[in-house]
Amino acid sequence: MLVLLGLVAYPVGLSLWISLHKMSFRKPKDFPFVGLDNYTTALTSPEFASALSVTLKFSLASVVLIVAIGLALALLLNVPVRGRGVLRALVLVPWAIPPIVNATLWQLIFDSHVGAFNGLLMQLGLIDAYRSWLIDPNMALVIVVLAHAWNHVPLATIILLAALQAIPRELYEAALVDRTSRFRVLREITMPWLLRPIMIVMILQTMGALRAFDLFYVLTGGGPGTSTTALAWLTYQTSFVYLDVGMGSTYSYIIMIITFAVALFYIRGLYKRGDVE
Amino acid sequence: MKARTIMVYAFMVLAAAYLLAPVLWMFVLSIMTQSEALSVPPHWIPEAPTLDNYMAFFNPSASQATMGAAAITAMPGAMLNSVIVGLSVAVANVVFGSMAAYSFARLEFRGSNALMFGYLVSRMVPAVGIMIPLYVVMQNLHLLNSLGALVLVETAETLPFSIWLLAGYFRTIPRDIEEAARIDRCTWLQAMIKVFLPMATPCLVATGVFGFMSSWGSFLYPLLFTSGSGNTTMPVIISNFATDINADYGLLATSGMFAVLPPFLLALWFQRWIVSGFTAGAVKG
Amino acid sequence: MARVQIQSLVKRFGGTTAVDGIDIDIEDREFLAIVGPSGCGKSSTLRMISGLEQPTSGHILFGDQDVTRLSADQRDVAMVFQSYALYPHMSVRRNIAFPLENMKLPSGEVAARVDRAAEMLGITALLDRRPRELSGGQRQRVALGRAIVRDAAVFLFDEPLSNLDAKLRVVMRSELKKLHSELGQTFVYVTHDQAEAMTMADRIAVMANGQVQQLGTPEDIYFRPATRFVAEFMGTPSMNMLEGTLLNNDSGAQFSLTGTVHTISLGISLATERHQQSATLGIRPESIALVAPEEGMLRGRIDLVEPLHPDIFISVDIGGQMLLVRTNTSAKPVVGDEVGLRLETGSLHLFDADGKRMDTSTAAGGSK
Ligand SMILES: Nc1ncnc2c1ncn2[C@@H]1O[C@H](COP(=O)(O)OP(=O)(O)O)[C@@H](O)[C@H]1O
Ligand SMILES: [Mg+2]
Repeated sequence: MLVLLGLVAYPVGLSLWISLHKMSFRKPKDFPFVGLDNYTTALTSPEFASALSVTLKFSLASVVLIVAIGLALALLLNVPVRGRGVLRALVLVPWAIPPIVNATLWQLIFDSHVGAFNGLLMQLGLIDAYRSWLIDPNMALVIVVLAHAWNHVPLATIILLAALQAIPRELYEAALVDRTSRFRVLREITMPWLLRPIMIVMILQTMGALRAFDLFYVLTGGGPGTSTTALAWLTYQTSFVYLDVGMGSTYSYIIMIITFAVALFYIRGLYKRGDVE
Repeated sequence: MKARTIMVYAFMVLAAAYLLAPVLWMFVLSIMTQSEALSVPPHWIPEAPTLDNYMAFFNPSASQATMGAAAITAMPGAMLNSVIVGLSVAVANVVFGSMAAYSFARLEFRGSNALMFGYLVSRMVPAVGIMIPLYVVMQNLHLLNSLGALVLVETAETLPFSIWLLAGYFRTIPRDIEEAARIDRCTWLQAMIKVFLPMATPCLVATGVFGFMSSWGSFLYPLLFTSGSGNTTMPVIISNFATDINADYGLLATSGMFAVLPPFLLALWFQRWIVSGFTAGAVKG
Repeated sequence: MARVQIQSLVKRFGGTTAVDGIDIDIEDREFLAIVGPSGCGKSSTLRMISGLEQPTSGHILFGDQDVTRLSADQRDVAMVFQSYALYPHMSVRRNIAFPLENMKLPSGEVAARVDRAAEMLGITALLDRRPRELSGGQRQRVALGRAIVRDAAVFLFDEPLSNLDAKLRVVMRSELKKLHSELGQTFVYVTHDQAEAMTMADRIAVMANGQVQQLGTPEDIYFRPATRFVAEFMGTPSMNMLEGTLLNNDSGAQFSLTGTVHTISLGISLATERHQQSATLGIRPESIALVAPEEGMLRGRIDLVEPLHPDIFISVDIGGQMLLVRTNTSAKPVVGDEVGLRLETGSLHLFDADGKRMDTSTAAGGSK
């Protein structure tokens, strides 16, 4: 346990230390203490503001989409019909795909010259010429969100489906006796029951979204322009491309703080509901 | 009633399409010749399916493909590295995870919630957040470019979740049964090996699968900690391939298929255990 | 060689004292039952005998050997758990063979012993099933089987019948008793069910709050309870307890019932110096007879009648204190009737304010 803690705590501390310094891989000997300078630079720089907004948009959209699709799939898979076992197995397919392959996958689909998406839209008559979707600043982020969501829907579905199956049968039977409509059953019984698992899914997915990196690397490289430069990407770029480690650490610390704040927010939400003992 | 059933099936077909279509497209591309892969509009069903792309990876020198040759030659080695790291992380998760989980589950530690919280906190530290100090540490330890470093980091990242998963499962194994084994003349170690671990097998397997899959797909750490083609892992090679403007799409899709295969088989094979493993933790919390 | 001695045994869990200094000397081949309410420390005691729990202080001896510091696998004990604790991943046959395999017995002997045990318990047909394919009663037998294949020095049982339905419980009682005489080994049997203890045991240890209240034969326990707790705990329905004052003068001891004018002459002289002290008089429901109001030692009003044929349970209100009477009278008592009560004078139990028995063995009573 201590080793574990060390492996997390030591880097966290070191990161804080570095973030208070001006440090570059170019000049590793030069390590002046600059206090909170990096932080003020970060907070006032336009890159940071833009990255923050990209991150928030990306996370929000992803989480909403994942919960919505995951919930829909879980509800669907909970309907007792033949053949749902097959679909339950299929749900695991996107989950088993490594993020980097996921990125490659969507790159192939949205390719500007030969991509399946272009081909499909063309054959349906929705566009009359192939387009470069990933070069379009508005579309690029949408595509990244779609790709990310596709990869992460399965986990949400699994958790929500498990929760659905744990609903005591008597609850439904009581509703049946009372001749409650399907919609009301969903609203009055199913949804309240799912609130806590949905929270858990949201926690896991928010954290997943904040740490997403692979997709940006392969699909957009942060572009076009800075339209998909999320905080994680900015950190990577600053530290390992521009080699400004002090600044990079600052960004990474800010990510940690945001993640922490979001997590606390959710956990408080859980506690408030009195569902966690 | 009837109409409703039809609707449910319609939705199920739709869902299946959503889940499968992207992978199927990758598969279709992987069995096309390069020229067919480039056709506009795309051929949804290949006219001349071929395994050439797959063969290319087994026999790189004979391959006609010039583009992406570097990736093709590097891929087998990288796959092997990924397998090594994946298996090591899986084993480390099972071994250390079950030891820690056992003490959490049996010593009646105050608060499984604390454990859950610890897990969340450690997950809250994103890889990008600690990558810089980790890089510095690895540099100082001269562990850059070694698979050992990857195993260490991936294990540290996956272990909290594994412990949480295992501890939840271990708690469902009654203490009585271990005690019965002691009464039946087993030493503590024998009781573990003959009785406790066999009962925990499903969860141990799920943990191993989880460890393998996580490190199999992990990209950022190998990207940072390894360089060159000899000692990096599959995701790095694929990313190089994918960001190469001249990449051959058929070969790219094929490398994707290779990368998907192991986790895919694992997920299918252990479907039940994975689902029940996650269920235990998430629903009861 | 399986006399078990428990000496000043104490077990504390953090702040709670589960077992508070008990001494029990269990003879070889004895069937000892430990009985008491839930939480009184029975299981803790048994688990210390088994070696699954280490005592905080005190000693446990098997024969002449001090086994206090030996772990469970180093002691020669067999145990049947309340939950049965069968190994779910093994067949019934392997479950029963498991301890023998661990003792490294030759496989021929293992097979022979397993077959013999299975036959004794009538589970030969189940040997190739898994525990989850068995009913509760069948699992119980398998758990017994796993214990009796061994030639253990001591057999321990922790409420082994409490998960069975009432009928099966009664059947298993006599089977266990039979098993004990066939095996000729020392049994220590924990239960919260006093009827089980009464029907099976050679001796009973009644526990409360981590202490042994009384150790004796079922007859001792039933007819001469050492404390008020034992008197009330053993026997259904429970013994009646009447609060009052004990008067001790030259003409003998008398008990005056609180809230009434009644005084019962106990017809004995007590070894106490005190002339007057508060005390409790105990009498079992079956030792009371209903008589005409003027003929009884006590007089009261019928409060409740519960016909539980062939017996009838009648609650009588005597100046605010309730007395349960068990009769099989053909007369139909009516609620509200005034009745007289005659107490069997040989069956009176007198307890002092601390709940300790005051000897009334020669008690002989008379009306006021
Ligand atoms: N492992 C333990 N940790 C803490 N307290 C315990 C433990 N085992 C038993 N106790 C406490 O010791 C007391 C006696 O328990 P036990 O021996 O199980 O009683 P019984 O078997 O008579 O019901 C109870 O108050 C119980 O709560
Ligand atoms: Mg008990």
